[in-house]
Amino acid sequence: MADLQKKPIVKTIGLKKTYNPGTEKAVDVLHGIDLEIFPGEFVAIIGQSGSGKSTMLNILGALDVPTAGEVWIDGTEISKLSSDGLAKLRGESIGFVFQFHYLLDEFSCLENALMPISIRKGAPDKADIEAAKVILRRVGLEDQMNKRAPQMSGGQQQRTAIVRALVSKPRLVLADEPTGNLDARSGAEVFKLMREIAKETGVAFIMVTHDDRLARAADRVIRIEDGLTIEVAPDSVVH
Amino acid sequence: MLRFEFKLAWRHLVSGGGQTLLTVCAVAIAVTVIIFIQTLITGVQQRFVGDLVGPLSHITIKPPDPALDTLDKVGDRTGDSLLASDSQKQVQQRTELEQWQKIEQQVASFPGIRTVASGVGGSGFMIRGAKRYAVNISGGEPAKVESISPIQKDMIAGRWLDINSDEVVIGMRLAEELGIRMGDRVKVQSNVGVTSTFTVVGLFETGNGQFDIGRVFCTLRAAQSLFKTGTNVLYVQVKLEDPFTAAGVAEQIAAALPYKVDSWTKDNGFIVNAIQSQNSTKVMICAFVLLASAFAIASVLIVSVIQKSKQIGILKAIGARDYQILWVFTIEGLGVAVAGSAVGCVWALLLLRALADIPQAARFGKVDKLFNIIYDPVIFGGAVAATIIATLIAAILPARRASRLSPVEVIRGG
Repeated sequence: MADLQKKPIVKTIGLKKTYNPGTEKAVDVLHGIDLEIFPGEFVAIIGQSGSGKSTMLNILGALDVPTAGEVWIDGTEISKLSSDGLAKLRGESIGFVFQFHYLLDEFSCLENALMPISIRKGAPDKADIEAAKVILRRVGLEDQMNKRAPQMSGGQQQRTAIVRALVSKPRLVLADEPTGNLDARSGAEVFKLMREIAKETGVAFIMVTHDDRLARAADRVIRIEDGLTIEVAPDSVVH
Repeated sequence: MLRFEFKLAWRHLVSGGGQTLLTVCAVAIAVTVIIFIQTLITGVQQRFVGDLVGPLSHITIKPPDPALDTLDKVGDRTGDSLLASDSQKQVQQRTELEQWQKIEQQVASFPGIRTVASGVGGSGFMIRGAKRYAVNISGGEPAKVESISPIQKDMIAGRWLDINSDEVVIGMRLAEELGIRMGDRVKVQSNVGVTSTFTVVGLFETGNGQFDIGRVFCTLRAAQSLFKTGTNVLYVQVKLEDPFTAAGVAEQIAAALPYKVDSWTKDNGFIVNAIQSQNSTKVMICAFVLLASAFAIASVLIVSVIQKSKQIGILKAIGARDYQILWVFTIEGLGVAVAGSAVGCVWALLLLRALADIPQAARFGKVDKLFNIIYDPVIFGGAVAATIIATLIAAILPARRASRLSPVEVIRGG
């Protein structure tokens, strides 16, 4: 599915991550990963618990920096960025969907969806609000826009989190077990929605999941094993 | 600018409900206590100083002490029969101030001077029939004397400001002691041996026993006759805007003019010490109240940061910078401080108003207030400023902690 004509939105060269480096408690998690992910791809990352899936997702999301190697996100090499530089990159180029929605209880559905823009610009303008409303309607939340997070169901909250991830028009969305905290039906709906949005917008989705059924529906599946990545065919993922 | 930070801080405070209310109340109580203690102690001090120092001259200017000969010179002149009379003459020449109007003008030009009054006075006796009582005679232009030793407000009978040179005003206790009534004729004898007869035309009661039993007021002319000073005076008295600057101003005057200059603090060190001790107590109480309030705010904000750590993590994950998070919690602290200060000022005002109306019955039908309440904007402003600064300092620790939270660690925690 990788399109050689496109520039990769994510590229890693010899990516290594060691926790507590140089100490007795040093743990090598990622051993030198080379990876390219292109716009519009829907990539599932699978692996055993503790294999380093979330670590890799955090590095690809500029939430963490590698111990060694290069990580290029949307044309920027992140290992030399400051904390604020990483925050800027996250705010402008990357959207996040986590297992727990982490919406702000004090804000409405619409306000939560617009949060990345509020952080960046102080307050959203009319165009931002209209754009957010369009996406909220797209995910079926037209009746929930003014409700506070605690007044919505788990599925609705996770859909709000997806809109929040998309509202800044990022080129990459990272999802860490996005359906892990939802019942089967809501989980399936949320996944279907992400899959459709990826196709419609050309945004690259990287999803960490334990759910092999979801992995099989991805464009690409990357298994992390012994700190290295193995590209596997989606069809071959055993349910 | 900071619109997002203000909005988030505001929502935190509003959603905090009872917790926010509790913190605001903690700050309000701190502000109330500080204003209350400051006002009460300042009021007590003002009354205390007013009662004790009120009738006193803050600075008294007298002729310089005669330069006494050293012992070796005295030895040289042993046997000189004119020694004693020479010394007396020297002292005599230097015990009066001649151009006192000019001295008044010169002294009035110093900073912090409220009024200047020249006078003649000294010890003497009041004689009524066979009774004699040692008194201190003060002679001066009544209006000027009034500006140094105000007794008009303490007059319980008769008049004072328009007395003639054959009239005196005395304290009620002295009148009681000698059995004097208004309009009685009394004799006054000065320490230089001159005796004159006066009519008692006024009685005062200041509440200061020493003053009320030992002081006799007369006109400048009468005192000049009693003490044989001619047209000269014996001293120039000065009242200052702030009595506690007396020592410094006295030094300035002494350095500039060739006279002996004494401040009231020199002879009343115990009052100054007592006031300083009260001030220290006041500062200590306020500092501890501020500290307690700051700890309360810091602990509530630390709990708030812990409660909101997931939220902080996600905000940082979606682009919030460290400084933005720092601002959010600093603004929260500031919001609590401002709201608490406003409430505290209102509470303090209500409390002081309630106390201000409590009467205190005094003798001779004079009714005073139990508490001397002065609504000083400096005290209110100072309390608010101190509380806001303490609150901001208290907020910085949790705010920094929040700004340094790593989004990965927070989110990984689930």
